[in-house]
Amino acid sequence: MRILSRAAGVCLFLAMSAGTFVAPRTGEAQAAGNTPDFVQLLKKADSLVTFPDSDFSAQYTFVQESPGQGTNSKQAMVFRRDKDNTYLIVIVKPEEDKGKGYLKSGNNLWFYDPVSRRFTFTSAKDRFQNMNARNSDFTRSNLAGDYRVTSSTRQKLGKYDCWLLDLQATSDDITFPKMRIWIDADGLVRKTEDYSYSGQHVRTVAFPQYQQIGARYVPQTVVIFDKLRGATINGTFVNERTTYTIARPSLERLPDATFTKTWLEKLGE
Amino acid sequence: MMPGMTLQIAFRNFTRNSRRFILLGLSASVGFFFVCTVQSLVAGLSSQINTRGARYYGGHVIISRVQESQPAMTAAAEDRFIREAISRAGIHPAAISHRTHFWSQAVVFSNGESVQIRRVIGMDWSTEGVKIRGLQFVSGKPDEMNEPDGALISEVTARLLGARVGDQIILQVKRDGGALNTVPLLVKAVFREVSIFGYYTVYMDRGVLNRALGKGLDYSATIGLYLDDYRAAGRIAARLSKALEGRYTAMPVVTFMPEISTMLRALTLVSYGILALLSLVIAVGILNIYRVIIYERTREIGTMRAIGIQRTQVRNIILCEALYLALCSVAAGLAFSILALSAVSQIQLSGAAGFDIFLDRGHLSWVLYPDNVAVDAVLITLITLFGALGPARSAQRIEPVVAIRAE
Repeated sequence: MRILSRAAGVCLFLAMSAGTFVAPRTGEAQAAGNTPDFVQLLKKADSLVTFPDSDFSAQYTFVQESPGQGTNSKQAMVFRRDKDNTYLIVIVKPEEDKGKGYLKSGNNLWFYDPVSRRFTFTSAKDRFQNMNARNSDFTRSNLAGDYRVTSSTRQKLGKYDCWLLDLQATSDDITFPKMRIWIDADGLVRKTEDYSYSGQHVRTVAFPQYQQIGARYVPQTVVIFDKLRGATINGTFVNERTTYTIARPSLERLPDATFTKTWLEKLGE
Repeated sequence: MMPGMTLQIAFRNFTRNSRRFILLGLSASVGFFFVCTVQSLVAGLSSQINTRGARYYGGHVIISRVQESQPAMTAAAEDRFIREAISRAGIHPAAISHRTHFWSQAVVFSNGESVQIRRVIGMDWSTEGVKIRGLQFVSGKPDEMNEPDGALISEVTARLLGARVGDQIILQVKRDGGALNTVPLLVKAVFREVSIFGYYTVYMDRGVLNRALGKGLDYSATIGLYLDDYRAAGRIAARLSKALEGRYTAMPVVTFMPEISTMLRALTLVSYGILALLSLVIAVGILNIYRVIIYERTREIGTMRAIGIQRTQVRNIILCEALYLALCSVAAGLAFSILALSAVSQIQLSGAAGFDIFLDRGHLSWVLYPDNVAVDAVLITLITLFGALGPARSAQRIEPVVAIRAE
């Protein structure tokens, strides 16, 4: 049942990402005078998936599907401490990548390779393990700080009534300078389209399911469609896709030593 | 006796006794052949590396800011200051390039495929076109690069992307702050270049790259000087650095390729080693053979002395003969060297792993510098004269009576 439910969710979002929308209702919403404060809306979206009062840990399973080339999967443990803007990710599967890890501390991000036993600087803007996810996808959400809303409209996305917001980055250090974001009535982000500075659609990210932990939410499945990578199969262009599922989420406090290089080295051993 | 007569007698002796000199001439010409060939090949390798390096980095001498973050003048003022420094230093470059380079994880996309690019080169086709045309193009029209949306990509990148001339590719770069940006480009031509200088290189318009990176349109990260003779790069860079008053540094392009320049230095040292060894062998050989020749010509020398030729004149005649021998050996060695180098350069050597950076379109290249040849020729001549000096002195001491009596 659980598999069926997950499959249904993914199918729903495949349809969502393909643009199965009901006609926009901007005028109607505005006429009704119930246009929200979008900064507050973004803040709410941020707060629902951010854990300032606790730590967060979960098991992430990534499956990358490259059309014509098969799939590639990895599993990682993710540990986050949002109040310090830090995270630690350690790969646990497959065997050849076991022990590789990332440690983010403030604006610094290190990658650890257990084979060479070396830490190297990497960027939050880089791709995570050569997949379609980026290292920045694991940090706390800061939509309200990173972006300003340039336009808005109401749109139905599958079964969700959403605000569709066009966002523009407030500074040049945000990976995606332009973004379209669908936020549902509960304040949860249901889909984003990420654009380059020049307006090239780079990727689409869908959040079909969330799991609730206390007053917070954690996506259960995230599907990332790379709009630039893919292959033409039987005359149709199929995008490369990475799906990650988040299991065993926990908000229990983690030892301070978790977010250190020493611990990452220890895990690598 | 007049010097002209000494030369005349020596020439007559040299031509009439040519058989005696054949062995000697052969050893000297073989020596010159080896020296000349090895030096020409090393010079060819060096020339290839410098040509490729200059194309890749934007000149034989590269001028860059001491600190990228130093209080910047406007691009125009900066350019004016550097041009004045070039002029003050008395340098006359063949061309001046302005380049913007991006090497931090650029990616090109086409047909859903992606290739990580090691270096995106923003250049001005109007000033650098002549140099970039030196690339080996396998398809397309590089001259269409004067259109701003043009891109030159390598054969390897084109194959990985499945892209052909006329196709659109998307270049993804990071702006200064780190934001992603993309630029659509049209493939104007596909070039074939060796791994380190081209597999993952894209040439494009500087203004377009600057805009993509969020820099001013006339920004350039480096200014480069193309020289007529790359061998002067070190000297010119030092002169120019002084003229730039510490605000910018000027470096020869080889400093950007430390491993290769070390290898070239090693090759040059090996060639000098060969030169020294050959010089020694030739000197000893000439000394010994000349002794035999002088011994065989004892009666002839005695006769010369008997008819009134002075001791010093005898020595000079023998030294002049050695001079003719050296000149003929140099000419023969040079001719053989050119023939051998031409033949070797016809052989297709593509696919020789790790060696391709030295090849010119799959062929070994060689350069015969007149100054190198002149130095080698003087060296061989001096060695021949040095080898002949001892026997010539012995000859001048021969008493006519004893010599004529000799069997």
